[in-house]
Amino acid sequence: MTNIIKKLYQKNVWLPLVLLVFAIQLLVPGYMIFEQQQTLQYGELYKFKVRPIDPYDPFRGRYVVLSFEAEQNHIPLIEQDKDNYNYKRHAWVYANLSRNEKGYAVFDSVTIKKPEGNNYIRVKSGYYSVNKKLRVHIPFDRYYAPEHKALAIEANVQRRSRNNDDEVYVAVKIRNGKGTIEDLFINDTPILEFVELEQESN
Amino acid sequence: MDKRKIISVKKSRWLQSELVDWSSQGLISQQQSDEIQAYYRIEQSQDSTSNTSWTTGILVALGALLIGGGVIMLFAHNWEVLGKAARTFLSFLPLVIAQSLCLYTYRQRFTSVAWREASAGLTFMAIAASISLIGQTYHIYGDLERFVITWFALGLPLAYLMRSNLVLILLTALVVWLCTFQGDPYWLLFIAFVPLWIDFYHNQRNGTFYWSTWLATFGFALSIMLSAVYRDSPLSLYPIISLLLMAVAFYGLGKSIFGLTEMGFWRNPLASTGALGIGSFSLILSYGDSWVWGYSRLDLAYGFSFYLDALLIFVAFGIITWVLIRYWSRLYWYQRLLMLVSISAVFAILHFAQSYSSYSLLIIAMNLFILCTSTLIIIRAVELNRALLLNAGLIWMSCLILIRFFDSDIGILIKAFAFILIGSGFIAVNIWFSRQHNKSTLQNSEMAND
Repeated sequence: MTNIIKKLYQKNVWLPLVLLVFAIQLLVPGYMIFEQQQTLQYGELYKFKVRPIDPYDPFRGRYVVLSFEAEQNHIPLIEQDKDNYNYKRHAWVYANLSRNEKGYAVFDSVTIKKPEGNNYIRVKSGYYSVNKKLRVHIPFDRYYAPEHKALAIEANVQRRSRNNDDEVYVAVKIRNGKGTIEDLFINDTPILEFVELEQESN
Repeated sequence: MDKRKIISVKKSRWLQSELVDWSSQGLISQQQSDEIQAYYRIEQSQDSTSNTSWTTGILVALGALLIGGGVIMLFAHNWEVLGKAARTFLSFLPLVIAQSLCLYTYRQRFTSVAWREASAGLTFMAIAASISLIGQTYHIYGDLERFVITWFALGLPLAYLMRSNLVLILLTALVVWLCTFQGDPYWLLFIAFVPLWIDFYHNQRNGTFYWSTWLATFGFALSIMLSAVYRDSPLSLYPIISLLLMAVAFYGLGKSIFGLTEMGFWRNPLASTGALGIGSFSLILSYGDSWVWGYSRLDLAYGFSFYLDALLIFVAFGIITWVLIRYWSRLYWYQRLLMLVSISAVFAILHFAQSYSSYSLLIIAMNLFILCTSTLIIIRAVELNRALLLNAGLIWMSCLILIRFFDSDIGILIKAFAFILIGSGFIAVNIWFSRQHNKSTLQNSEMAND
């Protein structure tokens, strides 16, 4: 074993290996960007109504945590899965999407297997109720904001999401079960613009 | 190939002073003295320099981590003025710089611990930074489990390629984190460290080696138990006894890997962690309540994790049996007893198979075990004149006595008798020991006079 490790440090072994490792280290974040760009470009647009709070994460700077109206209710499992579902919390399941009369995203049903088409997202399972309905958690739950604007955003979203006249939602592109946030809107104005306009008018 | 015999600095000092003495007495000539000196080589001549080198290594690495963290925060703060493209570029920048530093280190400074640790540590942190900065630019959701696993997978090769103990320590922290919040048996990731650890053991046993071994030992135990909490595994049904078994296995493994002779607390992380574990968990098991031995509910999820945990119990037994058989004649009685206490875990298995349900005998046996073993440790410590071992024995015994004194489950009368009995036994043992001790000193001095 020690001999194999010793060989690792010979120039003709070490250099190709390290270049490979470094390439992978760069490719992984690179692929993340690529995946997001693909989703933004080719994904299906859904609007999710939100109610947020704001914690502080030193690693990522400030962000607004989003909580969605679509996750407030228990969602029924599809008929085929009702009998063979082994409930596990925080496991990945798929939620089928549709739009309500106001055009906001709602979940129709939950499946264990990946559905066909593009109208579903991968979600984490929450509580399970006796009538075979499941609470789900939408994974794209953060809106990253510039440090000094996060508070203003949060205050606005808190106040306006409670007010029935204001529409607070996140535009999300959905592709292959994954969602990418396009932007956070208040009354169809992107949040950063909205906060700036509000600061100017004050 | 250097064929000189290797001796420690201490021995070499002794040898030199003796050589001077012998040649002055006329026992050997100056030439012979020189030849004898040339026959030996001081162990790890870089010992003192490597010590300073790894200390500098750690300090430089910590500095590098702080600088890396500062740069990331700077980026995070000035984020909104930059466009998406600029942000993406900046997300990759720390990683590319750190990687270049690794390449430079390999070319120019690979023998320097400081450079290796610093560049590897910086790259390790830069991986996390670039992933999370990109996550921030694209509002990628905070699935921390996936984030940490990616970080682990991308960082692990660095430990090998840069021979970095710092990265090993950081990876240990990641595994412990994964096991703290997730139910899956992520502790298996420790297997990925083993080849490098073996290599360090043979070729680079410096201060950071002991640090990372200590942390990995604790981290491994912590990871297994934490991840077991999430499932109904045999480990979480018998938590204390599983921990005791693991501690014994650690102890045996430490003794067989680092040597049976007492090498000091710090230099045998496995055996020391094991001994600490045996001490504390046996005290908990000596309590009169049966819950500390195991829960009686048997509704288990028989899946992969279950069989893995069950396998772990048998692996521990295997290690203990192997060490006991192989080293039996070379172990002192207290060491044998420390390992034999693992037999109590057999009862957990019997209980699991529902063929044993009475614990009162086990509790009495556990009390006797602590009493006997701690006494033997104290005797051994006095013989060896080792204060740490003596204190360990004394603390262990006093803890047992204190716990029993406040134990309300035992009737006062029985307690009184037991205390008198133990007290008398204690005094008797001490008197016997001091007599034996005096006798042997007397014999030694007589032999010296002869």
